Amino acid sequence: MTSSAARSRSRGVPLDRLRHALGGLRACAARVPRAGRVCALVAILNAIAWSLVTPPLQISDEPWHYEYVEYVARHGRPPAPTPPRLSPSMQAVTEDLDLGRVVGSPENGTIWSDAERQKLTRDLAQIRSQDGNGGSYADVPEPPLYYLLEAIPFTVAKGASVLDRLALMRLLSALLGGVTVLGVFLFLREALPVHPWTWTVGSLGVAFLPLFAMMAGGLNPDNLLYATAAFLFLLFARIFRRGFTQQRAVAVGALLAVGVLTKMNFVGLVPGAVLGLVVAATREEGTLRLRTLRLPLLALAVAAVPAAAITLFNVVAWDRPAFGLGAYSTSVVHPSLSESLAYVWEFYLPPLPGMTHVTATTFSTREVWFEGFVGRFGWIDTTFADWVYSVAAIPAILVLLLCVRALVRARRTLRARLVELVVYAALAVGMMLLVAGASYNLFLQHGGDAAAARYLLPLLPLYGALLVLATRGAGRRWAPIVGTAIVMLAVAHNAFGLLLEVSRYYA
Amino acid sequence: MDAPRQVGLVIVTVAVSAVLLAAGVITVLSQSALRRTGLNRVRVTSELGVLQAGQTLCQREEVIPQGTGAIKVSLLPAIEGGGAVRVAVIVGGASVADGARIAGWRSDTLTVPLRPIVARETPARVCITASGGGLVGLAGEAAEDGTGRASVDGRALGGDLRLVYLRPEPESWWAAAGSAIDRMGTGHPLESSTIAVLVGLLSIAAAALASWQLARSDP
Repeated sequence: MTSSAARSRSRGVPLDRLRHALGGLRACAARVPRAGRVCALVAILNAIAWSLVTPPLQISDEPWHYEYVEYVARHGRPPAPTPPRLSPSMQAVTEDLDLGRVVGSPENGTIWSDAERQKLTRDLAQIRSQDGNGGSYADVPEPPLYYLLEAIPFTVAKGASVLDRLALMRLLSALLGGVTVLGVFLFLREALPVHPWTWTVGSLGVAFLPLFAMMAGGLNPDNLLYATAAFLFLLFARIFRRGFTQQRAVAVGALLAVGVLTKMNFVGLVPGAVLGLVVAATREEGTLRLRTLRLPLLALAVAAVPAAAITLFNVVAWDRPAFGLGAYSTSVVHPSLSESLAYVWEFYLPPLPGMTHVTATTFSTREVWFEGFVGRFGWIDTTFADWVYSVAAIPAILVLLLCVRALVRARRTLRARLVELVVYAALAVGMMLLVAGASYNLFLQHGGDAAAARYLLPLLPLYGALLVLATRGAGRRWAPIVGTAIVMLAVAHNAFGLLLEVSRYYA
Repeated sequence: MDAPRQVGLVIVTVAVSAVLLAAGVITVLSQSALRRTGLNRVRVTSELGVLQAGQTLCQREEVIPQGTGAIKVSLLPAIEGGGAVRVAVIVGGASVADGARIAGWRSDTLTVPLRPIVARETPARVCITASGGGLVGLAGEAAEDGTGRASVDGRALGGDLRLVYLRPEPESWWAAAGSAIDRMGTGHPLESSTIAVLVGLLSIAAAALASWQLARSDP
């Protein structure tokens, strides 16, 4: 063989691999129905619109997430929990944007005057130091996966200013928003297979949900969490419909690993996932024996390897707590069982007569969860007029009633799929308990809370299912009208959400 | 029901919804009110004191935006009616615009028209004189260093007064759109107008794609 032929072959091998990988991706994409791809594209376009409308750093915790990415990109490792110190460039930007007076003060728009804008432009050009310590992760040392991903656009935009980089990083979140909606579509196709048209209704309802679109247009690890959760729901729907195979066990394990490496909140889905694995395996084998646990253990082993690796790195190399601190740690607080139960209840529901009222908790189901879901944007400081939430209750109640009607009509099918439903419920309850538990912990530590509707968005597949069921509940004659009306209502909701952002920050 | 009829229902629902949405957006954007030209972003968190008849409060380091024709001052609500107020914009020791409100106001903000309209953005002092007929309670944000930018007859007030600068006449959102669009580009790599066009196109494209997808398959 001549040396030129050898060189040619050595160049050809990676190219072949790349072609093979691209071919695989193309084949994978081709298996996704066109409707699913369209829904994902709609979500991406909408999220980009939100990312352009929302001013820089005006989504919860965005400066800290930026600092984490910056640290990862510079040092190749996640930051250790230390008292927060922003990099000089980010410090200048937060001061120039007067973040302290805009956040939490909806009566204050972003900076408008020529003098302020010129100062910002000048500082963006002059102050480029990235010498921060990674943000405020003394409280919540989140895992690094999302930040590693965001380090790619951060690094690609080498030499760009803080705000240019932020704009680019927000685009990656928008793509993840599209992935989430694709996951929701595929979940609906698998879990509610009878009426294909309704999958589009459920997925578009998610794509146009303003709270979701706002998050997908911002720099926040929740976006990877939502995508991972959507695909976890999809995998369980697939397992219950098509059977539990070794390939699916590995896929569940891989998703669990991705989730655990993305955000601590994902841990809330783990108990439901474990239950799902055991139940699916038992159903497959017809009985519960040691051998039955082969596939669940395989899934957990796949998940455990990267989780263990990151834990080891945390302790040995990165000087970080093994599993997390802050909202998730109970080492510095002394929770009481009765108070914690009361807190968790009151976190979501009105207190029952005689229930121990947890001091200083003033959660209102309507305000935190319903109004939060309808729309509390930015740093949860941008709200619609009060009457909007009252009016929004009407379609919400109608959707719920139609959903109940669909469930009653499908009660026989429901009974047959009870186990699967229990697993979805366990995933949802696990997530809700984790958020409430973390909030209780914050309350014990410093009177804080984690009451924000966005923390429940990992359950978006169930919201999509709710919209599908409501459409089906309208009956065959009315379904086209009701389904279309649901989507168009979501489009209108989204449009007025965007206008609200414009009026809050720029007018 | 046959498939073409169902698709027809989807198309009709999309069309009716689109018309309703457009009507809603047009209605909202056509609402007329005094629009802001700028503000000093001071939050109203403290009572800063009371201005007696004849006293003058001046707040330095204000930036008066171009096109300002009124100032909204945050005050303490006057249950028995607040006193008369005179407001002046001072540049280099000379008044470049001023206006007055008679006594008897009761709300927690007081809008005072200014004439002439401020022609271009200018750093200035804003002075408020109580002209009698009742008290003028001041509301704003206490300064961390205990001094602040506001002073009454030369004595530091210990905080800043919230001031909002307004257009001279009520305007619809359509008329105010240019200013809002201009502000959207702050710190952004794209031009303001490009951002506004992109947001419009992306939103319309997303809604159109969604409608098309609903209509193209059989419900």
